[in-house]
Amino acid sequence: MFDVLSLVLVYTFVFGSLYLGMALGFTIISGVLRIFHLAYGALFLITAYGTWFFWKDAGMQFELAILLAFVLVAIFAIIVYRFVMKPFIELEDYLLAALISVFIIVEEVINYLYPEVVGVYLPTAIVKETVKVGAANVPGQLLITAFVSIAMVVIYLIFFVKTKQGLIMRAISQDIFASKLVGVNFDRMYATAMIVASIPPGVIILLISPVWALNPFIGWSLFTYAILVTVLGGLGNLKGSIMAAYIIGFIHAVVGFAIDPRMMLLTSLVVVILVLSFRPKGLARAETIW
Amino acid sequence: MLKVSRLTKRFGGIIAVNDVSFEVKKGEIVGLIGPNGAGKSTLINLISGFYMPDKGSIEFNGKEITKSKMYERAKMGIARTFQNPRLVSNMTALMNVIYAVLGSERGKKISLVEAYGEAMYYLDLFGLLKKRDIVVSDLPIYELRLLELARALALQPKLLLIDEAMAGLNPAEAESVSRLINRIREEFDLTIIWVEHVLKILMKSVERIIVMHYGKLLADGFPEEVVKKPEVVEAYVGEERV
Repeated sequence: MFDVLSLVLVYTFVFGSLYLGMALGFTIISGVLRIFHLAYGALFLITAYGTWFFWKDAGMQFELAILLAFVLVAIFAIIVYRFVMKPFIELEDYLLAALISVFIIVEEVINYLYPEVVGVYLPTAIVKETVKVGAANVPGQLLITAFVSIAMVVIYLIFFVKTKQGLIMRAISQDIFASKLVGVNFDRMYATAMIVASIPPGVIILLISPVWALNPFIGWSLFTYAILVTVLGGLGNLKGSIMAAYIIGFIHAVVGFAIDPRMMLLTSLVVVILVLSFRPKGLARAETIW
Repeated sequence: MLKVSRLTKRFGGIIAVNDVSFEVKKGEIVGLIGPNGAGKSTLINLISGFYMPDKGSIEFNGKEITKSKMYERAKMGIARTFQNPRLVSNMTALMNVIYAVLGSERGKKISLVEAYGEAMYYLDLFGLLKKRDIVVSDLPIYELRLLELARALALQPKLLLIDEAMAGLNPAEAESVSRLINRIREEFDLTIIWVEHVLKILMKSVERIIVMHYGKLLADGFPEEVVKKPEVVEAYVGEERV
C-alpha cells in the first residue's frame, strides 16, 4: 500500500511538473494575447529539429546549435504573430484555421526533411541513470526535466510579478484597451510575449527527447497535454495551470499504476470535460495571467 | 497646441462630426458642450485616437497626428478620461496608476520602485492613498472618476481630455471633482478640453466654450457670450435651462 502511494506521489510530481512545463508557454499566450495558439505544437518541433539541423546538417557545435534553434523558434513566433495572428486577431474562425494550418505545414515539412527513419536523436541527457525515490524508480532525466519545469515557472512568475514588462503584460492580459490609453505599445508587448512563451516548449522537448523518442508528430501529443492543463486551469491563468498540471499528473499516476497506462490520457480528458461542465471557466476564474 | 481642421467622422449614414475646425492654445481650459448626439464624445474620441477620422486633420504641438495610434498619442501627452471609467478592473487602484507611469514616455527610464513612488504621489493628490490596495471593481463611481484622473495625470500629459467627469456624481462630489480639475490644471500647467453636461459647474471653470450641434461646430467663444447666442439657446441651452 505504501509502495503504491509512494509511486503515485512521486509520479504525480514528475508528470505534473512535465505537463506544467509543456503548458507554460501556451498559458502565457492564452493569458496575455487571449489567443488559443493552435500552432503552439510547432514550437516543440522547431526547437528539436532546428537543433538537429544546425548540429548535424550545418555542422555546428551542439551548444551553438541549441542556441540557434531558440533564435529560430523566436523568429517563427514573431512571424506567426506578425503574419497570422495580427491580421486575423478580430476574426477568430480564420485565426484558428490559419494557426492549425501553420502547425500542420511545419509538421509536414519536418516529416519530409526528417522522417522517423532518419532517427533524429539529441544527446541532451543530463542524467542517464534511474533514480530511486521512495518505491519509485524514476528516469533521472525526467526528474531533471520536472525540476527545470518548476524553475521555469518560478522565473516566469518573478518576471510577471517583479518586472515592469511583466506588470505591463499582466495589465494587457486583463484589458487591452486600457493599455492603449496609457501609452503601451501593445503590439510590441504581444510580440515579446510570443517570444517569451516560445522558450519553455523548446526547453522541455530538448530535455525529454532522450526519454521520449523524437518523431515529426511528437508536437501533437505534447500540445495535447498543454491544452488539457491550460483549459482546465482557466485558459491563461498561471495559478490555474499549476493546479491543473498536478491534478492531471495525479490522475495519470493513479491510472498508470493502478489501472492501465493506456487509459491515462482518456481518463484525464474525461475528468477535464467533467470539471469544465461544472466550472466552464476552469479552475481559476480570474481573467488575468496571475 | 491643438489644431483640428475640417474633421469629419461618419458612422454609416450618420455624420457624427461634420467638418469641425478649431484651435486650442497651451494652458487653455475649453468646455465642449452640446445636446445628446451632438458629436462631443466622438470629437474627443477622434482627438485621442480612439476613432480615425474620414476627413480632416489633427495637429498636436505642431505635429500631424491624424493617423497616429491611440497609444502613440498617449505617449505624446494626450490623456483622457471616459464617461464610463475605463480602468483595469481586476487590478488595484495603485497598480492602475503604476501601469500609467510605466506606459508613459518616461516609463522606460525609471525603475518599478520609482514608478511605485510616483503612483503613490498621484493617488495622494486625489485623496486615494488609503484606497490604493482596493481592486478597482470595488470602488464607487466618485473614486473611479478620481482614479481615472490620477491615471491620466500619471502620464504627465500636456493635453487632458475629460469626458463627462460629473456623470453619476451628487452635487457635492461634482463640486469636489471640479475643484480638483482646476487645481491640477494650475499645478501641472495643463491644457484641458472638457466635455460636460453639468453646465453650471463648467461655466465656472472654463474660459472658453465650444458648442456642437448635429456634428457641427455651432459657437465658440467666452462662456457668458456663447450661452446667450440665440442659436445656442435654441439648440442646447434652452433644453438645459442654464
